[in-house]
Amino acid sequence: MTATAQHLTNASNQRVEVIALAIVISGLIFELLRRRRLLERYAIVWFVAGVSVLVLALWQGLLTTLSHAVGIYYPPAALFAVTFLFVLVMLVNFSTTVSRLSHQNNALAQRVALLQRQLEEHEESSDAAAQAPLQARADEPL
Amino acid sequence: MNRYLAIVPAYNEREIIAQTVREIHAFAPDFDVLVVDDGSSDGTAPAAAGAGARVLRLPFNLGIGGAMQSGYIYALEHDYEVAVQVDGDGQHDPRCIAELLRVLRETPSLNMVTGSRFLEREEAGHRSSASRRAGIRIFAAVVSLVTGQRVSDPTSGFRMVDRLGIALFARDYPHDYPEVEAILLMHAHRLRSREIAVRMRPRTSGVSSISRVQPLYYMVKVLLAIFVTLFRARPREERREPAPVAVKRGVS
Repeated sequence: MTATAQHLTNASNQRVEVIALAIVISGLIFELLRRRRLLERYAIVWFVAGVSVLVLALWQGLLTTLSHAVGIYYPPAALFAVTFLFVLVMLVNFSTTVSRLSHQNNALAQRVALLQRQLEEHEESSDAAAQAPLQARADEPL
Repeated sequence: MNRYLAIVPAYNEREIIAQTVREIHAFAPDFDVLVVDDGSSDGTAPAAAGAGARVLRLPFNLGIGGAMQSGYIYALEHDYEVAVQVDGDGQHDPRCIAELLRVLRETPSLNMVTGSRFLEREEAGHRSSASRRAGIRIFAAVVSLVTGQRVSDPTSGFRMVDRLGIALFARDYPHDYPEVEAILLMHAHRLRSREIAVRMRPRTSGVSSISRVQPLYYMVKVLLAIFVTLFRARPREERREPAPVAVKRGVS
């Protein structure tokens, strides 16, 4: 086998692996959705990512064309740049989501504590009201 | 206390909420009115309470799904027989509640009755914009296919459920854009529903939960949710017996 043929075989093996990876990731996301471990809102982004990988793997030359179009002459570098940006955006997005959830959790805990206190005050005052007549009777001279 | 509950989700609807509450009291006097204030910042809750509604104040905005579900949990815990959802913005005409109730009561096998804008051919009433109607038609086709019965207005939130429906929605209710998925949820639990024709009015205040966000996301999210639902297990058919009498705790 010539060096060129060997190179081509390796490349097509890699394609098969990338396609398999995209399918596995999409399947995993789907299963998480089905088990209600994931909201559709978040699943959509990962599906889009999985499909993008799949398209790049299936459509030979697309990555090269795209990266040349934006002036990057080593296609894998373009792929890494886009992937890095995507992961960065997702991480910032998740940070803001976690922050929002922290605020809401805080507000919830405070609200529950206030409600509990309000309930106790309510019970105390109704207990006092119930006991008041008894107290009055006990104070009466026999 | 009445046996029927009207759940009114409201987010910043101060201008219209009192009128909605008063109309429900006037045209459906058998119904208690519960306004779920979904974290409004404009004084919706006091306006609703002033009109005589019970009010649930959510500490922050949960979105329509979370707000509605709190209403259903309230209905379950207070043992209501029937719950009807009436939008706070005045689109749903409380005059139609009596008709929904009549249909639900006279068909014991029925668990949900929905008011549809599209059942009658006449061009009366508010039927929303052309692009939105196109989206609704796609959902209608998909939902009709999945449930095996014609559903003309799957995005209508004007719906009434019985005890089984209340119990189901209290346990499980879709998050954002819940209307279409709620129909499929009923179907997945083998509860029966049908539509009757109602007129809807153009909203008089506030903004639709859909107009601001991208309609594309709405379509994709709901279609994905429908697709995933198809792969979840459907529980077996429950025996249809009258609801058991609530057991009182602490009574021997």
